[in-house]
Amino acid sequence: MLFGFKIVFAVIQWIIALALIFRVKKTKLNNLYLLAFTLFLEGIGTMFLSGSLTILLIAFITLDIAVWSHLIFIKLTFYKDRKSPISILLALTIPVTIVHWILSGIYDIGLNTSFLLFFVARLLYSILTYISYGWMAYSLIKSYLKIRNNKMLEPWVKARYLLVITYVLGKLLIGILLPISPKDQLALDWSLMAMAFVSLIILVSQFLAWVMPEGLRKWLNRNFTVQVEEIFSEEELLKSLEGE
Amino acid sequence: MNAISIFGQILSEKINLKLMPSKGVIRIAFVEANLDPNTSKYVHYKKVFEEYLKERLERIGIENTADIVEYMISELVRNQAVFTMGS
Repeated sequence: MLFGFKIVFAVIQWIIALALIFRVKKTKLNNLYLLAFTLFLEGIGTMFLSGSLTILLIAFITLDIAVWSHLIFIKLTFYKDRKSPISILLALTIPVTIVHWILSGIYDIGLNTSFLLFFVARLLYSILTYISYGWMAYSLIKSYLKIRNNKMLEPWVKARYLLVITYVLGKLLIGILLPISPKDQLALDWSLMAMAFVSLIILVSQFLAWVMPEGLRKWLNRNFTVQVEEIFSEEELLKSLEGE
Repeated sequence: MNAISIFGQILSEKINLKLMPSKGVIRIAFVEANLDPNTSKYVHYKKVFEEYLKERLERIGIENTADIVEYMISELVRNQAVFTMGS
């Protein structure tokens, strides 16, 4: 990706992270702090991943910590009080991360700057991406399938599910493209063009999902009729039951 | 997002009661627990379902309340992501 594009990508991710932090203040959903932290670190990591500012160690320290933070976010969002593979997944990431950081350090200090090492370092990041976003995709799609026919759930919530699914699948696609993209980011290559395009889709869907404009929310809910809340007293409930 | 509507519908289907009284049962259980029925917190729902829903259902003559409460808790756990996605 071109450096200018990466700056824009990082800044928008930080804006989304800030919006999530403000949402925590309102909703007290502390798991969103972890998502905000993940996006913040991914913004930093992307800038150092390739091109003129390539420092693999900085890129992968931030991106790998983002993977851990994202795994814990998934656990707290989808798997509270239920069994989850979080311990196995975290345990899997540790050896990959250690090798990852060693290879990145070797590349950065110039001991070996071959394409092979560059490829392996990015391939290891793709494996971590698949562990984290693969689990997210599985959990999210499973959860969406359960709620998609619920008529009481507002359409904008279902739309948010679909937007998050879109960017998660985009991240998985980037995981395939990243290792095979060229080291020289100035060369116009199909994989770089594809990554830029997918990244754009990721950014737009991330922004719309987590910073959904009020106008869009209202438009999505345009056919949703809000039922007037009736607060039943116990007596009214009993009367209602007698009428059943 | 109003989670009471979602879990009210689940309760309504489980006990074959109309939607509004089913939501009412949950709402009253929240009031009894001194918690805000409009909360977006999963832990509040869990507390209400575990500690207050059973008695509320018994008071209106519903049978097998322990099974129903267990079912509601399992549905809550399975659908917990809506609290994050819908807030």
